[in-house]
Amino acid sequence: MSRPGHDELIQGEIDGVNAASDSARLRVLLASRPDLDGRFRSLARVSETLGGAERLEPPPELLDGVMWAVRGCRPKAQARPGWQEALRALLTPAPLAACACTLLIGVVLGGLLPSDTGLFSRKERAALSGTALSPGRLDAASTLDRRSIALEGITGEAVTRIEGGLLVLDLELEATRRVDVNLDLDGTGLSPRSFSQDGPPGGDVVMAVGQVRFSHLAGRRRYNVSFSLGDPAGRALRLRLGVGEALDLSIGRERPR
Amino acid sequence: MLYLSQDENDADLVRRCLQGDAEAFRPLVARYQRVLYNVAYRMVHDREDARDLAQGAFVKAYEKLGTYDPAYQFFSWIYRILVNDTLNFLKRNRPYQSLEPNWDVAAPSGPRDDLEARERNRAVRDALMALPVDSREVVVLRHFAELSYGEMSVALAIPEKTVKSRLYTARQRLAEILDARGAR
Repeated sequence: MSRPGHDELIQGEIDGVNAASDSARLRVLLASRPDLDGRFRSLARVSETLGGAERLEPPPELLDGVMWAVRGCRPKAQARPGWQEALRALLTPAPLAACACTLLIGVVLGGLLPSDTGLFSRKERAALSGTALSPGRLDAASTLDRRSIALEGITGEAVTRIEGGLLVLDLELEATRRVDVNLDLDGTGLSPRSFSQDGPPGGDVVMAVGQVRFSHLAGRRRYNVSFSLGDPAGRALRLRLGVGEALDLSIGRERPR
Repeated sequence: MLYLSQDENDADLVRRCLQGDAEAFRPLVARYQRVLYNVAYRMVHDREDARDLAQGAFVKAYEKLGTYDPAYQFFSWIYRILVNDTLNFLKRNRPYQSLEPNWDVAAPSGPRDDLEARERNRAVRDALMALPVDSREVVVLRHFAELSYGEMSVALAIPEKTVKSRLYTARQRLAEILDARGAR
């Protein structure tokens, strides 16, 4: 094994990882080389200064926020196998037999089905071939609430979901006129983190403690607003469009009323 | 209520999470939240961003628990997630500018010692933020997460030799910055 150089010896001593023999060697070296001794002392002081710097206590909502978010999802049970493992697994007798049976059933069913596909609607064909998924199954596991919006002159959809430890609101609006959008955060424990929209910028956006306000101009736009998770929530996220009735969107941790 | 022993090791807790027991993740978060939060804070110097980054790293780790290889230590793995997210965050956001007056250092509770501690903390913070990101991350992981060279190598996905040379250069640079500020 090669002997460590001067810099490595100095750093090893500062980090407390030098063997006794290396420490002894360094002591001899420092005694005979004032330049190295100066370097050692300088770096040791840096280490000491960093060691004395304050350590912050994490905010209490960090743990609660993580636990709230993980309750809504499930970890993947195991890693996806590499292509070689996947191929090897496929070539074992049971999967091979299953593939053969599936193929046979497909051929038989294909022969039995009417050749004129016009007899079936697209939806029916999808259902027959097993590719029709209900909207519920298509929903991401992290979705907390999904509401359709149908007010006078305003249509759209609002979805609340969890992403990367944040609560995200996806809002799609189509309106025949300008609409003031107000998100009331009081009592939700949420604080606004980011706002984005597709298309050209609309009206002013106000992100403040307790609320997010913006104007939706006539036409169709998608908005994405994210929020940090603060204190445990008491109520849902309240969305108000213009002077219309408020829509309460679940954020997954409201207290039961 | 489920009782979770402090001695229960990380691998056991991960296994229970994978079996569907989400509450088993709580002691893992409790165990590492302080150090992850401090690492994130020292990288981005903003308490809210640090909280979001630490929170995001835990949630991402939970979602990807199935890909965790128990041959490695859990904390090296989660640091890697945090470091990657933090680097992406730093790429997306504006460079750090020191705030005066200092809002972020703890308020003094006594006279002179506290003032000195505040000054020292401010100097450390500014010196760290003056380092290039790849130098800052090794210093932060070494001094605020107390990772060994090997653990840093896993967390940063770089050879141990690179860890050592980066750390040495970063400390030299820090010494220059702190000396220039008269902070030592």
